[in-house]
Amino acid sequence: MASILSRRSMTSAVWMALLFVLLIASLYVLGTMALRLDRFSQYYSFLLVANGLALLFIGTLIVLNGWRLTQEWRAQVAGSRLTVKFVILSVVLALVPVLLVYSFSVRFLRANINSYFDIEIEQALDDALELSRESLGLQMRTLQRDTLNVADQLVGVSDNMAVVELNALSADSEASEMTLIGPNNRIIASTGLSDQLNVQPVRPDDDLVSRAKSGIGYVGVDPVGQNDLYIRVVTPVLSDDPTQENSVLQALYPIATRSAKLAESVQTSYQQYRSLVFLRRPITLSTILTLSLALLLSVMMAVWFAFYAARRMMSPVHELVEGTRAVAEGNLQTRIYKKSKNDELGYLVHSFNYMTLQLEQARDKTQTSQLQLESQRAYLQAVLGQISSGVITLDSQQVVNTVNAAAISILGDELQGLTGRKISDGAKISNLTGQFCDQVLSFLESGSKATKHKHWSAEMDVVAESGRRFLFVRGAELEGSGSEGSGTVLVIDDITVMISAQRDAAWSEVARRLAHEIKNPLTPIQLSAERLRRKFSKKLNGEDTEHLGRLTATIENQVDSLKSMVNAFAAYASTPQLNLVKTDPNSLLKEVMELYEGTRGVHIELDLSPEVRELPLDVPRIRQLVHNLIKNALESQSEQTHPQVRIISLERGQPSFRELEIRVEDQGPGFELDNLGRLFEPYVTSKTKGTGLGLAIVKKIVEEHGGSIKASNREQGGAMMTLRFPYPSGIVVTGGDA
Amino acid sequence: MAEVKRSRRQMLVGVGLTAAAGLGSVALLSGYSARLKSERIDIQSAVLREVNNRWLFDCRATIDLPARIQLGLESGVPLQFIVSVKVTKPVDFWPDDVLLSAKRRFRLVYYELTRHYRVHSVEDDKSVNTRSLLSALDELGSLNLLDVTDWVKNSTDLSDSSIAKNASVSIALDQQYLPLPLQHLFNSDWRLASEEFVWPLS
Repeated sequence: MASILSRRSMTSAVWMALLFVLLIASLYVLGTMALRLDRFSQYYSFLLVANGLALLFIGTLIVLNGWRLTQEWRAQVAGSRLTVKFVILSVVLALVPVLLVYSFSVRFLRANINSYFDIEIEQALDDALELSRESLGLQMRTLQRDTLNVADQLVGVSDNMAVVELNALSADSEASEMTLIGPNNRIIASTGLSDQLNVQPVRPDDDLVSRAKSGIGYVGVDPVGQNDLYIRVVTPVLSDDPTQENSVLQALYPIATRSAKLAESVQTSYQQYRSLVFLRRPITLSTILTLSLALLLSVMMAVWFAFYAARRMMSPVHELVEGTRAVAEGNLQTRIYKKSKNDELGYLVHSFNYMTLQLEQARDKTQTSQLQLESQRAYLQAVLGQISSGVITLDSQQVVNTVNAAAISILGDELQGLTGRKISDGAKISNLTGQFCDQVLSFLESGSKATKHKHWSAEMDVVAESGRRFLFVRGAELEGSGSEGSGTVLVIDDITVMISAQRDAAWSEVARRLAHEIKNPLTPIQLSAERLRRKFSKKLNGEDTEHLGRLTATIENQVDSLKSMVNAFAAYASTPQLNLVKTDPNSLLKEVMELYEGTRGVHIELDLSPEVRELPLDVPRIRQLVHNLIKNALESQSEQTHPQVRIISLERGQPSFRELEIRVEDQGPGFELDNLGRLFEPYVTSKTKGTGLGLAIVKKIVEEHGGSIKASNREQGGAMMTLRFPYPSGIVVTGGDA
Repeated sequence: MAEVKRSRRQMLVGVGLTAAAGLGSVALLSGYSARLKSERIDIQSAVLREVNNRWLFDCRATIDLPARIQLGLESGVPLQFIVSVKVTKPVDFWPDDVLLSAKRRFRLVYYELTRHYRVHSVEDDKSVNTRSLLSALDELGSLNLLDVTDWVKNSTDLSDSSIAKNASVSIALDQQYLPLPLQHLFNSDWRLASEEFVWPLS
């Protein structure tokens, strides 16, 4: 495209140069014509109009160029301001000398033309003309006298004799023709001796005849025929009869050839000079007009060429600016066509193209690296998202960079708000995050630096709404180029469940051993106590018998109590084979609730969803579970006159994973937060009575059914136990053992 | 490519504007020129008749020279008047058929030495000398028995009295004969012409 532009630009320049040459040539011809007064220049007007139209064409082009440049200026097109400056400068540079030359040329032209018309020459021509007249006048006076003599001799001559007399008289004179005109204006006689005259006599003008009749004669140099000069004398011939008008005699005398030529020469020169004098102003105006046209042509061509040159020269600059803008906007594929090869602009264009090429390659490399980095980051995010351990990364300024899903799961959704903030701001996010961050921060600031270990680990515990949770945190300082490293990565594992399981396992072992070791001696102790009472009650009297009875009763009661406790431990420690039967949970809950009907002051509310389906359950153990929960709920409201328990059943979860949820709510004081995490451990209880194994057994039953249990406090007060039992996926239980 | 189109469009616009301006200028000049025409030649009568197979033209006109032209004449500028005689046959829906088209030239010159004027018929090579401008103009305006037979294009139709014809005559100062500086487009002082005198010719 650029080559087309360049070729087109050259073509227009060639055409304009041709037009310029033609105009200059035509102006030269015009100038030549204007200075010559001959009449061959019939194309003068045509050339003048053609030049005017050509100038109009160039002027139109200039106006269009100017308008276009103005538009570009207003639109702030790249390079337009420089082009305007260049054009203005070029025009001024061209205009000043041209105007100077023009003014001087006009002045010299006027002076030159005025110099043609010298006063002395004019005076000399006037004098020559007057001299010619005087010379002719002398001849005229002589010839007038001769003619008067002839007229005197014709006085009294009759008309019939007039021809003879006139011929005789004219023979003695130099007249080439004599004509006698009678009173009636008829030619009476005429004589002609020259062949140059017409056959018909030359009749004088009527006014001359009239004046002659009245006595006033005439003498003058008159042209007769084509170009011949004659001295004409018209004089009256007096009549004898006073009543008759005078006759008139006209005599024509040829002027000598030499004198005639000289007179004609003088007249021709005089007329030419007078003509020049008369045409002086039009000639001056014509010449100035031609000169002005040449000036206008020069100026307009200079202006047009200024536009042309400015555009041609500014074209690479314009493209460079446009290219720079494009590069600034991110288009690094911008290349500029190199029009000029060896000048500075060509070198600049080459450098620009090389620069954009380098930038493009560098950007491609950067983009490739960035894509690889993004890919690796995505891969890492995917890995971090899939692992169960929470991962938090900090930079060298302890600002949280990344937090994976597991960490959010462990420390709550609020942890996301810590991204981009310093870890010391953890307390501002949430209580749980604050507890974690404080411990990590203290460890980061004191522990790791003190030991100068790059890898460390620690167990931390935090109290959440769901209770105390135990975290195992490992930290590692990332390698970096700085002295402080590039950051720290924290790996968090929630070991609450594991610790709980370990405790459960330990308690189960303890319970099993206790049951085994304590239960065996209890029967002999009880039997021995009964034997002691039977054997010694008869031997003792009065108070001793009574005292023995009380003691043995105490032993038996305590043994019973121990048996109950041992049975409870046995139940906790035992892992019986579940007898799963497809059961309607709502029916089971109603059945258990019926046992509490009639209990004074107790109000148990059932909110059972009819959509709850049957699922395989070990009915006795579930019944025991519900009993325990109701019992616990009632015991927590022992100080209330109207304890209330509400049991809710519903189905929840996604279509692919449905769960039965049973909630038992009371209006008691709720759970203490410190115990909330350990509520299901044996001997963790806030009650003064009982074995402390109730909730532990409840949890065990739930877990045996593959479910989960959660204890929490209700917002409106009271405690809430939430149990969830999963429906077997894809299996429709019809009854019998599961 | 857009640059090429813009350059071509600009050139075309330039040519178009120039043509429009040229046409406008020509129209203005024509109007101006027509307005500048000084009607100081008044044709009072004209007759064209056939005598012995020769077509003779008589005309009577009054010519009033403006002072500027009089001054030029007395300064030695020769004047040439063109008498244009035309006979046309009207044709429906078509340009008129020209049966005769004659142009006769008459020159008027002043001689300072003898202080007289000369009226010279170029085609006939005949001259008449007068001692006053009035006489010269009277001579110029009195055309008698001017033979225009040589300019007849269709003598049959011209002689046919049954055909309706229009004859016209106009007298004008010949601009081309004037010295070049006086021929300028806007030089109104030297524009002298009569209105076309038209009469039916039977």
